[in-house]
Amino acid sequence: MTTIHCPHCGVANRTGSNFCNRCGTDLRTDEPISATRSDPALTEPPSTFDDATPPSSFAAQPPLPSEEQTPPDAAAPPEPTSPPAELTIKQLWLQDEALFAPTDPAEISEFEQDPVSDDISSLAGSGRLMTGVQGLLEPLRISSESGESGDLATPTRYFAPGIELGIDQLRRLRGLMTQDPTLLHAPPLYRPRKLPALRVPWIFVLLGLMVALPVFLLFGQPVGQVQQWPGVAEAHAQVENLAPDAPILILWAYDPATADEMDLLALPLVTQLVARQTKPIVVSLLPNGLATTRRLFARVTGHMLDDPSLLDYYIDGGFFAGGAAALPLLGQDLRHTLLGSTLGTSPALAKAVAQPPVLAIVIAAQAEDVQQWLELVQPLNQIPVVAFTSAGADLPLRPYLESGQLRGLVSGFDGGYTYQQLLTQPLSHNEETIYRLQLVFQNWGHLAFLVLIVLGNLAALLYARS
Amino acid sequence: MPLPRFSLINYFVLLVLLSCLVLVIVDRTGLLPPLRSLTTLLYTWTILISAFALLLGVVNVLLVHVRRIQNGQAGWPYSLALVATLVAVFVAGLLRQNGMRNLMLEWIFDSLIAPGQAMLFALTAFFMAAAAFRWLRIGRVGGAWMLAGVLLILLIQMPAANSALSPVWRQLANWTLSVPIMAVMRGALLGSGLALLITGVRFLLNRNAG
Repeated sequence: MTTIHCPHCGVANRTGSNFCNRCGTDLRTDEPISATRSDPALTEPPSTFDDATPPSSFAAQPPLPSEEQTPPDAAAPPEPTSPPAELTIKQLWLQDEALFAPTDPAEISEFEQDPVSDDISSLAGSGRLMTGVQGLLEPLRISSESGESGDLATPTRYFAPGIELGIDQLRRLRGLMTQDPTLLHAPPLYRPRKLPALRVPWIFVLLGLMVALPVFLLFGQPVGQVQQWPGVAEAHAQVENLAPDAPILILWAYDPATADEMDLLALPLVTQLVARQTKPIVVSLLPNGLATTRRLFARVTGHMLDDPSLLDYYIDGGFFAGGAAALPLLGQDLRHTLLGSTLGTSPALAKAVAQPPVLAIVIAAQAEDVQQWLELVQPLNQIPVVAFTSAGADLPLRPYLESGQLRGLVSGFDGGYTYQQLLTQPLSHNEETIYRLQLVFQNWGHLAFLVLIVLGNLAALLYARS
Repeated sequence: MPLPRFSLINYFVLLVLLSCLVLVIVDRTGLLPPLRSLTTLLYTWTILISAFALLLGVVNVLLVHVRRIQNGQAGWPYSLALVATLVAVFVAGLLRQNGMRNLMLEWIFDSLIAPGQAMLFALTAFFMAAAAFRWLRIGRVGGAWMLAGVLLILLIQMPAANSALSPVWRQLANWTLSVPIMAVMRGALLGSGLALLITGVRFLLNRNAG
């Protein structure tokens, strides 16, 4: 098999490849790349300033050095010429913008604090964040070139595979190469920051204390009411108006990882379904989704987890591998899909799929699951959809509610709390305690965030004045 | 820039992709009802291929980490833990007749995997706290607007403040979500949909270079 070599990293790629399998460099060029790369002279670091032209990523940036920072007695380097693309090897010690960081303390501090800009500049030097073909046959490799050291006070510059240098090291390297005494004996550019003593660990401690203490010390009583968002009453009405034997299809798209939040949403729904003696068909795209279903139905009905009579309250429709690819089948041919997915189909399932569902309920921790249902299933079977989602999924799903594609939307603890207040069946004392406790958490958690925002602005104000 | 050469197998794959695309689109229009059984068959194949790809991925992960353990590469104890866990879960699934629904496997998920995942989710609150402290500042460009929006939503969602605030504030929060933010969300949804469509077409036509 013929190959071509990447001009950037040298890896051999199959002829006809559009991009390098390792670094993603565009391989479509008119010139025979492997021939130019095989020249040993090109693989050696150039020793003159002729090769000092920065790569395109740096060349695109405005130059940073000022006249005062350039040593007056240093010999002016010859005017750099533009080398061919194959010769642009990263030599950051020759690039002024990599060496002369801002010297103003405020700018230095801002630069030190700014992990985003550090990441971006480091990425510009490295040229990539992830390497390799991120496919099934090759594990994902996240580059450790930027931002993983956590040392924001000494940002690094990447200039060769596996080698990272700090700004001061680059300056010293350039001083050694140019014998420039101002660079050889220059003091370090980065000085300790002078911010107020509020630091990230203290933020974490403050947040933890403000949320945990009121609960553990039991001095928090539920105060106030949650915000009633649109969509909750509509969702409740959709379920409440169902006939007792009406077939319902539920996509259970959360597992124990997000159960702490999602159980608060699903619990009143399951309570309502059990009270109304409906027997929904539950399917899941997650391996452990149906175990969560069983646990929640057992919690509501008081059965043991391994009690077979639990299946009197719902029908196990099965787990579907393949993710979203399985969804169109549910919309297209539910009966065939469900009956063909389980070994030894239960009579209850066969009876349940005899008539099409009248309502679909998606209980999902992520907005994508609801969106996929609305795009891949609902257009096919035209069944009204109600969604129960996490708070984070609320915003992307609001447009669907406004447009009528979603008949009801219950999201986050706010939605779950409002929904359980609409139930005609009271929750058990333990369940009500959980909701009251959650109110306390929500109050103190939000208060902690407000305090942090105020402290952050105060810190910025004091620092600016100092 | 000249287009790269396309091998025969590329053309074949492209032909299969386009055929499936046309079939699914025509089926969605409802103009040819007999196509429904064919597209159902295609969807079934998709699930089969996905399941096989998943299996292939598991084998690949296993090989990579076994090789790492054999060579004693950096971080090999983590690879060992991964392989041991993979084997344990696989064996647990084989022990009972009901396979992945047996209680032992569910215990592994509920008592080992789920707490770990929940712990990672819980860390989100701390990241958000650090971000709120550092970035929600009135002096930044556009910071005042962002800060005002955050404060409004925070206060509305805080039960104690919600009860104390005037209904005007609640209406303002609802209006903010329903009008300006909804407009942005609709734009983002529409834009991402169009981008996905165009990217797909460019990929199919082998014009995916930027």
